[in-house]
Amino acid sequence: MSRHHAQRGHTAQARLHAWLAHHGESLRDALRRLKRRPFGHLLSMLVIAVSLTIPITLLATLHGARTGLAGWSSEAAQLQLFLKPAANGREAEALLRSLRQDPAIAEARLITPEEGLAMLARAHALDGLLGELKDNPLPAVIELRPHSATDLEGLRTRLAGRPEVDTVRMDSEAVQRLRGLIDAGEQLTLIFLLILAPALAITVGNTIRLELERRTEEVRLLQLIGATHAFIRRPLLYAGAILGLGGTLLGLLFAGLAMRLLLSAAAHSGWQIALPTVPPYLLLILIPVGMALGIVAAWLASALQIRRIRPA
Amino acid sequence: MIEFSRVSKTYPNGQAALQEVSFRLPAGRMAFLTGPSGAGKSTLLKLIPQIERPSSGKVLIHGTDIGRLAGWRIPHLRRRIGLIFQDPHLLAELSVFDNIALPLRVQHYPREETARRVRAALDKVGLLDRERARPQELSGGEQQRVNIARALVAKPSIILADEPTGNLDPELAFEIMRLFTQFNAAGVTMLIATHALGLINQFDAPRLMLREGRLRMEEA
Repeated sequence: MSRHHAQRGHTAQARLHAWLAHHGESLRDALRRLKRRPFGHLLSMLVIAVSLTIPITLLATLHGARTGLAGWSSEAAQLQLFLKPAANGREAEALLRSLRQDPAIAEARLITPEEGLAMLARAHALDGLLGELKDNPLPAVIELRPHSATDLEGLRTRLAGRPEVDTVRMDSEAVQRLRGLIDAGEQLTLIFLLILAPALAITVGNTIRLELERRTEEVRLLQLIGATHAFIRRPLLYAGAILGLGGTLLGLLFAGLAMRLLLSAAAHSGWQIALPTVPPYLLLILIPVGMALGIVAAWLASALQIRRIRPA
Repeated sequence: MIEFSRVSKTYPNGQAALQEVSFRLPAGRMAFLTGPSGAGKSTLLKLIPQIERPSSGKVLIHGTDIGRLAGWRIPHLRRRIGLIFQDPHLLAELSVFDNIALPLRVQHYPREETARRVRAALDKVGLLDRERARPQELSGGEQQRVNIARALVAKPSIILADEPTGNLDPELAFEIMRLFTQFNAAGVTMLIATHALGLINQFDAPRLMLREGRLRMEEA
């Protein structure tokens, strides 16, 4: 074969350029064919897009919730000390003064049982009902904000040991629980995406298989004139990449629309929530993975199909 | 050089297409393969580019037993063989130019070289002015000439033609055969399957006659 190549008098560089040019031609060929049958190809992309919309929307929403929680810092961290019912006003005031001198505590505020009852009545419009109570069942509460959120647990243990304190409630517990839920939600959605991947690959593979069936005569001719399987496959791999990429981008678009619809529905219900955005890591992963999935699916489908087509 | 050594071919349905066929066509020579329909002419031609594989015996091209070639080398074998069919097998979506350029694109020829060779091939078959036409805009004879141009554009060392003049009028058929003799004079080994005895009688080349899968050689 080397003598044969030498006879042609082409340098390796010229052939490399021609090989690269074939990649360009393959891409143009793939685009031409997509344009020629837009409905079928768009349908394949829509199947991919619709399948991806739910997990993308979920991941974006969970990401939004996580970002919201990240804003929860020492400034927002609060502890509430519920004092024992036996603790009177003087003892509560003494404790408040002592806490204000504690270097770990930035701010402390006393809510007397009377103030607590008034707040409860205002918040839940229970003026009439609460006014009928003979005794105020609420304890005095001291709300405090620590300087740092790093050792909240240590501070909590220390304060719980004070004789006037009945229980200590920490807001971070709820946040931790929420974070756990977000983690679990993200993991479940990623598992769902992994399960979905083969289904999306089958969609692309089936489109490529149909395309090859339409091109059987062309493939036969190419085989007869010495085309390698790689040469025949190349435009199909580009078609797979375009389908994968197009489906993923449409999926992201649909997810964006779905999030806007959800927000609009939430706003009607009186909830003011910031618009969650698709996290950058998801964009960085989804777009190349969508393309790669399309290429792999096209490769598998074409490898099987081209072997079945024999020159006649 | 094409060499068949006791080659037999039996299809899976039990049809024995060739039986113990042996012959040798030296490099740069031309021969006609004749015989009635169903004699095994097409099967014999298909064994050379490995479209079919022999059931027994050996097919050698330039001394290489092609039955021993690894699968990945078969496309490279086919690049050295120009194939001309009775049906031109042109791709309707491509222009005449692009149809002829296909074998060069498959071999990654540079663009300028491809254009130069395609125009030279079009010139040889007298279709220089039709390079932008689509196959469906051409007459049967023109389509066959595009088919021939495609077979010779990559300068193969062997050209195999299966009933290349089957659909053509006698004048055009003669013109095509004359073209083949010109390629042969340029050093291309040619094996042409045809049952147009009246036509090949006008050309000086040996004949390989097949009958019921068996070969009988005749000199012109």
